[in-house]
Amino acid sequence: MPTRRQFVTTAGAGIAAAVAGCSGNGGSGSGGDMEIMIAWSGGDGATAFEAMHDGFKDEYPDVATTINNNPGGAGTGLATALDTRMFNEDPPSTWGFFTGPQLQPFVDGGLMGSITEDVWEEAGLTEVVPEYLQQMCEFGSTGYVAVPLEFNRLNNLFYNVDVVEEAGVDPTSISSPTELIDAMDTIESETGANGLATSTQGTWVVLQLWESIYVGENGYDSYQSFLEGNVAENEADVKAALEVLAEYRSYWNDDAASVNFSEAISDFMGGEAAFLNQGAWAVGNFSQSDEFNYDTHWQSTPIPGTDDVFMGQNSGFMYPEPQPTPEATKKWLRYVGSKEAQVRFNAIKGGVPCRNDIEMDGSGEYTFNGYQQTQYDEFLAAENLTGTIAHNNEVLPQIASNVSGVFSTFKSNWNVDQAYNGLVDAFDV
Amino acid sequence: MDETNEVSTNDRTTLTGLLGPITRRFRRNEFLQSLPFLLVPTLLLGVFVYGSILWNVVLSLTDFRGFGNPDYSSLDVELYQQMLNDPTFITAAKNTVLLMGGFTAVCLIVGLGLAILIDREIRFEGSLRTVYLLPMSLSFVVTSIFWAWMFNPSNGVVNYLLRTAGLDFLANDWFGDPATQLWAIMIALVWQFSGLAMIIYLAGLRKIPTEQYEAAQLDGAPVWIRYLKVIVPQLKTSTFSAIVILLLFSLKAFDFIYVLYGVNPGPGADILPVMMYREAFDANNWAYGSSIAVVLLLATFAAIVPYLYYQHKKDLL
Repeated sequence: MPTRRQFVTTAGAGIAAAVAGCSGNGGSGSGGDMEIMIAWSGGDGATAFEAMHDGFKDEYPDVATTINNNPGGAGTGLATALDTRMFNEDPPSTWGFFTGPQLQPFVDGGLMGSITEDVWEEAGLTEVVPEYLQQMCEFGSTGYVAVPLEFNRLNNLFYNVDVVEEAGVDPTSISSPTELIDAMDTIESETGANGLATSTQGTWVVLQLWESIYVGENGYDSYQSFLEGNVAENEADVKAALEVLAEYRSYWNDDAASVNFSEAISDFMGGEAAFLNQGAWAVGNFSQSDEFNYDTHWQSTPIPGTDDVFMGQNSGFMYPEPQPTPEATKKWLRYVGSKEAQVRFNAIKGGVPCRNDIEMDGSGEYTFNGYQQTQYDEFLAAENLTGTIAHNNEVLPQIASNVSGVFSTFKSNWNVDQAYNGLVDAFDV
Repeated sequence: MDETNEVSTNDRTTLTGLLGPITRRFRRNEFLQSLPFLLVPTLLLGVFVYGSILWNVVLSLTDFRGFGNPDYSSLDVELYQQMLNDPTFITAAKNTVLLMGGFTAVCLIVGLGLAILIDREIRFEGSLRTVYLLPMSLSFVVTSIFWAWMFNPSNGVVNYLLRTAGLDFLANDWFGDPATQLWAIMIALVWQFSGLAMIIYLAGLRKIPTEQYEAAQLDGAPVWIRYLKVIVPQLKTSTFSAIVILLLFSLKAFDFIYVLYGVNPGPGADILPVMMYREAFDANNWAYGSSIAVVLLLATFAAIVPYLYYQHKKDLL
């Protein structure tokens, strides 16, 4: 039986013979350019990437780059294109996406190269990148295969200042996700607004909220144990979090199942709901309105019960193999890890940098707003950093897909026992 | 020297004598002559279509997941057995069959109705034909977002009309409630493709000689009897063509569902094409994704083979 490469080679040779003069290179970057695959095709993401890329070009004018943009919701366009490239052992020079166990299948397939010496040690990243983010990029004997770029907090409880003040609720005094139910009850009885603005159309928003509730109800250690696959051992905790999420249903917008997350954010901005749980990227939506400003109109606090945890979504740039442009890619990755790149990118995109030595109140061309400065302080002070299954930072892709499947059913029938049993099976891969 | 020349001349004569009939045969054989032209498309089709299908079938017999090379040493049908015990697959398969059947049937009925109405030489016939056909030119991406607004439970047109008509009890979260998701998707798809069925039927209607209408009319048959007994039975070919095209469109509902719900629509709206994509590109279970692809291929055959057989029997191929 021929291997995949043999099949592709034979097929390619046959076609080349038939169509003399016409040949393709399977999608590789043109000539010797460093090909950078990204999914930041619009909005803050595109501007932030451009700022960082400009900085790189200033520092390394001799390195030719080709930007391969793959638009598509939440990076799915990039993931599909990348899978096909990796499947054909024809990776780009680097790509920007989620780090962590999502990379494990590539590592197992021998498709990731080590940048331990040439990037991490040479640029001194081991000294300044927090341990959790290092773990996201380090894979056993292979070593470091990626450089983290941004960390977007997910366990945020954004609140609409006018609505909570009208209802007389102080969000910072709520101590657990269960207590938040009482607060939402007060809000709905005292104002015309919903307790929470959300979208259940896509599964990730529901799963992300559930993971925050889990940490808030049961603590960081139980959550880590769950992520390791100990579902049955944490049965009571898993079910408690599922029950709280099912109760939240009464307090969110009636059209949650029919709107996407951006529409839910608009509802929150319009005062139709008091609370919103979303990643730090929601701030990008807020800033599009001149009449919805930080502190005056909106504020943020960690999901009740998660003060000591900074649960985030981490993206970075990777070093695949076979590597088409080794030297240029290493220059790029050293630059991505640098203070300058992290400031240029994150000041615009809205997340926090992945280093512990950034001067957030700097007065250069790229400055962080008040919200980002607070987030960065909390990031440095947090006892625990962690991630989510919803954003593929914590478990293998097969498990993440199974867990998403469980929540796609749960958001249809809200059956706690069935969801629990599904989660027990989800880790069995 | 002379001797050598003589020999070679003799050889040439013999060779020409031998090659003569072959060359003549080649010149006369159209198949052989067309080979250089057929070779390129045959090779392209063979490798990229049939080669890939074959490879996909072989891949479905492995247990390949993640990256690296598949292990072809032990091929079995384990994943097909797993499929039969996988509740997600059963649900997706049921939904797929329901969507294919329901969508095709309703499209045919609506399309036939529209075609008959337009065929009765009404005013603005051309404009109406365009109006009904226009939705087909839109992509699923546009229509899914458009229908998400129409079906919005709070401020969508559908619920607004129902409430205005005093039918509040019928107002629902159409795309959100798992009990109505598939039906709501079906309504949207029927809206988009019934115009196509209409055009196919209209072409069929126009082919029926007017004498037959007139004869039935002279016999005093009412309009609906004329259509039911005289016209509709003659639309068998149109119906067959429409069924095949609509069945294939229903298998392509992937885009519509993916835009609305992403890779995990949940049990109410999951169909096999979405499940295939999810298993392959979300979970990297390539072999399982391939086996679902094989099932879909068989479903496509099931839709097309009866049509081809019918065409063959009618000597239309």
